[in-house]
Amino acid sequence: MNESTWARLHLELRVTGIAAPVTALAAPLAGAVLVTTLYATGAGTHNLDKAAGVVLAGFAPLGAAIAASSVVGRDPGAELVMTATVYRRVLFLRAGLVAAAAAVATLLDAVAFHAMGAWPEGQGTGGYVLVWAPPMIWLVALAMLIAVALRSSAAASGLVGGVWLAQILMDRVIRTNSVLRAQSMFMGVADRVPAHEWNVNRIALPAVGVAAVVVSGVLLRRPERFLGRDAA
Amino acid sequence: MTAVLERTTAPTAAQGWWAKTRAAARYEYLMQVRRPAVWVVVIGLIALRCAAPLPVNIGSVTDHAALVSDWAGNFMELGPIGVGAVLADRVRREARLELNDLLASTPTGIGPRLWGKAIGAGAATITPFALCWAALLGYLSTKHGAGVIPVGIEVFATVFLPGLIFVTAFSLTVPFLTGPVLFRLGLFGYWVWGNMVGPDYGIPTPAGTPFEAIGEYPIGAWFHGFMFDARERGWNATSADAVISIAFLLLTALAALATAHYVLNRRSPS
Repeated sequence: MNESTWARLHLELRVTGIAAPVTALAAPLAGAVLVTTLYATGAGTHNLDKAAGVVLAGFAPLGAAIAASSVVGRDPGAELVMTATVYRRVLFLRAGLVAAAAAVATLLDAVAFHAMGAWPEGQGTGGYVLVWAPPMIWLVALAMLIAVALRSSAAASGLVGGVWLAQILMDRVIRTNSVLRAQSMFMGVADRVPAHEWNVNRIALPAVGVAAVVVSGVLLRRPERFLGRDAA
Repeated sequence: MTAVLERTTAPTAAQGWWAKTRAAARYEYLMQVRRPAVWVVVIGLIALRCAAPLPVNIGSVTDHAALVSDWAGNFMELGPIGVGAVLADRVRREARLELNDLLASTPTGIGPRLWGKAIGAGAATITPFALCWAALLGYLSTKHGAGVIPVGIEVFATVFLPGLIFVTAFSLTVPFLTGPVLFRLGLFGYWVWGNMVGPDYGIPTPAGTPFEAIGEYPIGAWFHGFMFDARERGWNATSADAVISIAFLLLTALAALATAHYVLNRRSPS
């Protein structure tokens, strides 16, 4: 990367502010504290493995999604940005920076959990990435789509939080339906998953995520929708 | 514009604290109830929970109290996080729009503005929740008779309101410190940990005790509804437990708002 690219990334990170990156990092950090505490207090292997799985596949993606969607609709001078550059590119760049911070922290969590022996059952070293990255892509993309469509990061946070919680509450229902099963975030937490179900799920989650990003991009072709409004 | 201004008399210095709070609450209510996000999120989450198979086999329940309270348990699983999520950005709204100096020059002080926001914005966010509940009671009354309606009103007052007031108070105070984005993540984490992660997971949690916000104790003690986490602990809810649970939620909410009022007053230049 040349100097101007770094300067641009630095600028966008500063414009994004402190709240979004802190939120993106808070989830994996809090999760690391939880799992380390359980490990230090001698929690049972089953509970420890489950906690590590929930942090990686659930809590870290949720933090990334809430943080990434918060960049939508908060530009006081959006008109100026739109006259100088493509607003869609700016929003995706900011959301990408926030999600990337969460991804790096979650990867570090995964390595640390594996070293501690707190690891979802049946997962190999591929789980370093596969347990958390597909759910993170899916949830971040979904949050961005909702935020862009409704022009509200509050709505995105609320709905994404609801979908996340619903996946926990309705785990049994989701597993008995092949369409819903392909969209399950928490498959990496399950004790044993047939290989073909795992493969379908890990491909379907990012695929839906990419589709959501494409739709968000189409909606952002009219960035003037974001002008002159208080939070919806 | 003129018509809007004519609807209420602007508060004056001579008016009492309550009149100013009422005026602030009215405007906060109207601002919040007109936000599409409030309706989309709260109704969306209730619909999401009710569309899925429910944890209790509600179709087989014939007792009015148990039937209505089991539905209430389902409303409370996702609904409050929606309420908190859309309230969290109200706290810093005035600062974000650079209105603080303007508002400080009006006769309405910090106290009426804070309590008016809590009452008005809180009531507005609970409005879609209440309408969903009324619609459900209407449907249930056609199936099981009008007897479900008074029970539904009692459930609303004892199960929903304490939990929602608790969430409202913290959503309008904690974001002063954390900002809305981090608060929302914390709220979702708290809701799962404090209300759904039962004692069997081996993590210390208020879930299943009278200090949870989901309203399990009033449901179990007064309406014979199903208790999940309390049953896991082997506890049976009594009326005293239910009263403790409600009192804890309301007093904690009051303490959060009173603390925010005190801190804001101390920081105020006037």
